[in-house]
Amino acid sequence: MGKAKINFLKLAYKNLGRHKVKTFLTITAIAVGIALFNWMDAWLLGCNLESKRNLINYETGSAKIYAKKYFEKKDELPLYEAFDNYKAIINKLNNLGYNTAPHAVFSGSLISKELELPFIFIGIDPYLEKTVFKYHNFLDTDDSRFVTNGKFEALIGVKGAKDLNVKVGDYVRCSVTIDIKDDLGILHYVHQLIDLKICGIVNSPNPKTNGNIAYLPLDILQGNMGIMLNGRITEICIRKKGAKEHQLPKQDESPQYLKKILGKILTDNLVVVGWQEDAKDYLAMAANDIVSTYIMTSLLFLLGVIGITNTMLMAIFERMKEIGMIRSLGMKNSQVILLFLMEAGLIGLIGSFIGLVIAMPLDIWIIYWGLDYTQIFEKANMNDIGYRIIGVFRGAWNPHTIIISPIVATIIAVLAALWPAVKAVRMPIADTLRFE
Amino acid sequence: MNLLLETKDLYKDYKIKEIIINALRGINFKLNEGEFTAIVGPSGSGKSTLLHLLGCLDNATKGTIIFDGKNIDNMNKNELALLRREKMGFIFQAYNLIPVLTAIENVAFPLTLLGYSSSSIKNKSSEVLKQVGLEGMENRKPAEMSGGQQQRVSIARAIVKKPKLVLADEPTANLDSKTACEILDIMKRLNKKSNITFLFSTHDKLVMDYADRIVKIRDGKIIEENKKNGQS
Repeated sequence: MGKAKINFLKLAYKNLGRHKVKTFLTITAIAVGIALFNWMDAWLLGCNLESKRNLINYETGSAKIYAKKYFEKKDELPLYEAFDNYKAIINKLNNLGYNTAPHAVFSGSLISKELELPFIFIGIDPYLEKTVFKYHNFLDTDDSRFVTNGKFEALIGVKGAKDLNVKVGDYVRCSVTIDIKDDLGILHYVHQLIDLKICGIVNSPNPKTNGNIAYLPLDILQGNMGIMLNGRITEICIRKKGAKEHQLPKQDESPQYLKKILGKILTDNLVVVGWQEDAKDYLAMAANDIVSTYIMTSLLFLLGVIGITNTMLMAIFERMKEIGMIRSLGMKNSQVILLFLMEAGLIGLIGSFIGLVIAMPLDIWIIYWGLDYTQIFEKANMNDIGYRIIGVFRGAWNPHTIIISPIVATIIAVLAALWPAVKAVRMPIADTLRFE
Repeated sequence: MNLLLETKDLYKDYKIKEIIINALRGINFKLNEGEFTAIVGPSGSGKSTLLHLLGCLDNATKGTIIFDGKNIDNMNKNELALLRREKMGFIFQAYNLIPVLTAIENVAFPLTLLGYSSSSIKNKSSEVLKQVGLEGMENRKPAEMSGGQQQRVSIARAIVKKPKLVLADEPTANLDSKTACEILDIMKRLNKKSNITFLFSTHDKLVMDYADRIVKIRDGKIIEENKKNGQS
């Protein structure tokens, strides 16, 4: 920076003291905007990261294998599109260093002595399930245990159990209409009732496992006493052996990579789907949340921008004669503009710095303590608010935002002053000297 | 004496709404180096307009201005800014000091634009403040000074870069007679000592008494020129 520019910067700094109240208010608006933006960003990032981890560790694994036709209408849970011969795939993945958990997912209702509620049922292999998912570590009561092969029993979500008013040891009835496609491709519907003993209640960090969901042993569902799967399943959930719980899947758990290593064993009727695609509805909702939150916090920035434009316009009208004087002393128009842009840039920089100083304790609080929604959820009888988190919603550090937000705020502040600054030098010098 | 400034058939029209006002109507005027000249006339006669055109602060509607041998009509905004920066100083009726800067910082401002070194800026600014009688007041801000003191700072700022021409628009209009005399004494002394050319616009009788040459202007035309020795 040249000597003259350093002097302009000094002058710009001194000029900030002219409208102390106005400058203070503008700096405050920017500081509050930056602080809230950083705090909100850290919180959303933390919630999203935790949600993604919980999705993977409790719901999806890093990828799933579906029958193509099943995946196309996955929301309907079409049991008739289940696939067989899955054991070869499981064996191959096991040999390649991946854990797998076969699922048979279907919908129906669960009936207690008092109530009947819609439920999602997931047939699982108890041993394999524990290698991919972690909800078995979160059984709600001391008498809870995980499901056992060969037994007609169910592990159900804590909220589902509460709504049905059942506890461990109680009997419930699963009512399901099974859709079976015959050899001619004609769908037949068979209504089936399965009596189950509740062996455990789940209360994991992912609210989806705690809702109206029941885990049953896959083997009891295979025959006529179950849902007549006859060796078929609806999905295989995959996770790399030794994958860290807190880490998101890497490239070697991507669907492309898994497809490549599976080779020909993955027949044309099957498809590998990554966790992002499997949970795209949730991810889209989370992205919408982020966008709307950013829009709201951007409104605070807008207040700052309006403040800067207003402060600069006031400065220009008040200093019109002075502007004429400095131009008559030989200051070029570009230098006059630069002087005003420096003033605005300093306002942006000071506001951003103060904003970051305010944001740090707020970030520390949200990251290490978080907001506890447990009581609100309990009082409102809610299981979740879309995020895959229960109880405490914590944030996460986002160095990218901490670095970028003050830079962007300063640039916006400078741009906000451009129009008033250009306006100031458009007037002939003689007119500015006469300006009243 | 060398010719410093010359105007040829200078016109300036203003358009206010649909009405055209002829502020200057064919001014032919010459100014030599080292002169101490006053342009006098009643309000609205065009003296300030003429001063603004001569100081390259406004554009003429018609006519030519030659300053220091160069036709300023052919110069762009940046060239005019550099010309003002290097060769002209301005003194305003309302002083127009930068209120957030101290006296010495105000005086130093033109030198910073010229890219002088910090030590040179400090020495020159202190020296010139001494010349206008403000020694010891270097660190006062305009609000802490009287009108006369502020105008002295304004004079110091105008002469610190040793310009060829200082243009002063009603420099004593806001001052009492005693202070006005002091200010005029300073300018006269600088004119004699440093051979700086001064051109004033005024309707103050006191300024006319100090001027070596008086150019009377009315309705945008020069109607009379007098030199101190009585020549017309």
